[in-house]
Amino acid sequence: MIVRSIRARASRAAIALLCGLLGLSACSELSATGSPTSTSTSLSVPASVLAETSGTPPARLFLQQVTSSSAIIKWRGPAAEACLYAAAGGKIRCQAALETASEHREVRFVGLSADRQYGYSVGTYRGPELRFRTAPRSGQLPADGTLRLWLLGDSGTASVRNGAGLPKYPGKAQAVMEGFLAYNRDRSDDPLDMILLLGDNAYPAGTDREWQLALFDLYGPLLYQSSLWPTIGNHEMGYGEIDYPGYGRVTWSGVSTSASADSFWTPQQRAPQRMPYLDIFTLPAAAEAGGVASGTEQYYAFDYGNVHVVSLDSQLSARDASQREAMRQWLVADLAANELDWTIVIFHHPPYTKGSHDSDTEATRRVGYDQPILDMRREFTPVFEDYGVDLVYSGHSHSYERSWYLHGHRGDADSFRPELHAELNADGEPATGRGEQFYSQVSPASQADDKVVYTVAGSSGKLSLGKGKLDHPAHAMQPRDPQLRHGLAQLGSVVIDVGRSVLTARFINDQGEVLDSVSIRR
Amino acid sequence: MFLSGARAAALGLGCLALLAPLWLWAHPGSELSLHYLSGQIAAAPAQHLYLQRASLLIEVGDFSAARADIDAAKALGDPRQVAYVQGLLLFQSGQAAAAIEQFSDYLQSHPGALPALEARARAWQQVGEAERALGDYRQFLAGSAAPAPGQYLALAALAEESNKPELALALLDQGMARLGMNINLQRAAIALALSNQQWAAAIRRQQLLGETMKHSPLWQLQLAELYVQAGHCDRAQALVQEMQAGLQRRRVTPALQRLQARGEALKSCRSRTGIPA
Repeated sequence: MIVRSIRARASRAAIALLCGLLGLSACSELSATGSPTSTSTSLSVPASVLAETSGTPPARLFLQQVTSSSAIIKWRGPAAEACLYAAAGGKIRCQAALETASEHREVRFVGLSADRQYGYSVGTYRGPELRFRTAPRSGQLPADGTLRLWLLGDSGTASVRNGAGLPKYPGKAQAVMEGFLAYNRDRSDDPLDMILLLGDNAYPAGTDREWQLALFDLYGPLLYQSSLWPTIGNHEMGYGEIDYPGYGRVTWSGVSTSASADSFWTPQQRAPQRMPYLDIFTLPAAAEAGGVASGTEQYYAFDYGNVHVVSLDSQLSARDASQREAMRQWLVADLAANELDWTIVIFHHPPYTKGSHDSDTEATRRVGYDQPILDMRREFTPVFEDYGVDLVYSGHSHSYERSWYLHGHRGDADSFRPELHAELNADGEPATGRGEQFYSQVSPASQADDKVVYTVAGSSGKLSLGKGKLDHPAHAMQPRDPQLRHGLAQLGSVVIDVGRSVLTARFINDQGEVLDSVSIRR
Repeated sequence: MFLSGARAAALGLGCLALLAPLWLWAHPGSELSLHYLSGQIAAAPAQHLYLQRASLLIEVGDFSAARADIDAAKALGDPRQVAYVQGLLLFQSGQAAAAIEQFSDYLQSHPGALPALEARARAWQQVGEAERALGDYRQFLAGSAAPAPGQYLALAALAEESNKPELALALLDQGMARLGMNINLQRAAIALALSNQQWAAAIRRQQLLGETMKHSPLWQLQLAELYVQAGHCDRAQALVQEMQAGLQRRRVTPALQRLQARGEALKSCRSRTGIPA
């Protein structure tokens, strides 16, 4: 009942909010189009019918791999086909759906125009909320001059129930979403180009049901319009059993140390199975969206306009030396081939954190399942710095921490030396990245693009610090924190605005306030 | 995080022990699992628990304790369930031929069981039956829902360690037939070709990688290095020149600077003769 209420409210809000997210002209353009012609089938539906919502939405509906020339519409439900409406010309193309794993269906539309808005319908479900915009051509910006990315870390709490069967984190993830929407509304509803998920987006174990509750039911209409790009968190990988300090022998979600995607299990099932994440998402293993083919959906890369994005797998591939090395070699090849203006990398386990997880060696070893924190820091941060990565985003710790402009820091927190590991300002202190202390992509000091901003953004669904003190010296001090710590104990998410010469990332709390920002110029 | 019932955990883990490949357990913490399983067995002995503990004991090299657990498991249920773990014990004890019999027995009652196929493949490999090993490997990876490049690499490395470079190469090509042209697998294949001084094969494979790697400066340099090894300095130097021109258009990164330096080093190449390209 609660879920239905949220979904109904989201659907009612969808037309107003999400037409706005794409720009009001999109909706008026849509309603003005004439009768389209059918191409692949004889179906002929006036595009104006998209001006009003009709039919029943599928149980889940989302966009995958939106590129400058193609897009995948994916859903679960009985609808057997999807139709595409070119907003300007009213042309219709319908395609029969391909049935994929766990009762999903998908249609990949190809031959689309770059930076163009399209409407679509799925079965009998149609309406103004079913619209998307293709990516700009490779290297280009969209017509409005800015790409907007929204990043959600550890947002999957809407599926968690307490012992009484009630929501354990009521309204938390929704508040973060509403904070973002309020922020966006105050800025003329800039179009949202993509949503990046930083892992742990369906608690506690990443079952199909939990994905439904934590992602599709909550963010529903947003996912109709913006391409969704995930990464694997520890809570996407079912249960494991460990000896945990203070608890003894326990069976917990999120502590699996398996490197096999086929070993997903929960106490409710008899046999291991393939992890639901890989059945839900259709990810570009063969470079369908740019980048170099990885050969696996567990990690991948894609281009979107002038941004190159890499999603690494710090949960499965990172746990096996052979697979980790394969991922690292692929990353090198991918980044070496990248010529776009900006590069963003996402994965779940943060190389630097003093939040609810601790990235120092001893602390990490004590919590055995956190080994990827060390491996990613030691083996992957050198690659990021060598190949011009600008921003790295992770989750796992349920707070916000954003680093200085870093280079060469591989050790524990106490080995951090600003003069060795950070870009310094005129006073010889770490530059903040804010305002006039923006970072230059090519460092004035080294004359090379060799520094990276690392951010932990794992508070999109809950806030917790555990024993963490938010005192990692590699992270920037936060003037908006009452204790001036190196992080923020606030619910929130990250918005990145990408232009030609400036990239700005902002942390938006659940009230829609900007609590931190960092800019890089090129 | 949620605590769950020990019984449910044991059920799930029991299945894992039977179905998961051995490397699933090859992480720090096996000793903790042994401790946990011993507690479970003491509370309620069951065949799958003994088999699970036996698998772990084999992994840590305690073969006599593993044998005792396998015997206990035989007495507690269908003996056909025991064959797989029995095969693991024999294999790790150096009795590959006997292990193959056990794995085959298990596969008769559990057709297509992936861990058994993989284990039998390793055993075939050990007794020198490369073709049969390859057959099982192929079946194993074909049955995997989503094999990753690293899995093919690991198997190819095993084949190479067993002094079976042809098998290794076949596995890598099998992987690319399944996954598409892949940087990891092709580079491993190139390394194999080089180790056998098959310059032309190595160069051809690198050329095939061009589109996948977007003809990047890294790809150009790797190809140039292969040309140098094959004694074709003129081709190498032309490629280096092309690469360096391309680098001028890129942002300076540490990786780019290294490519420049490697390219410079190749310029001193002196052509050799008599090496077929």
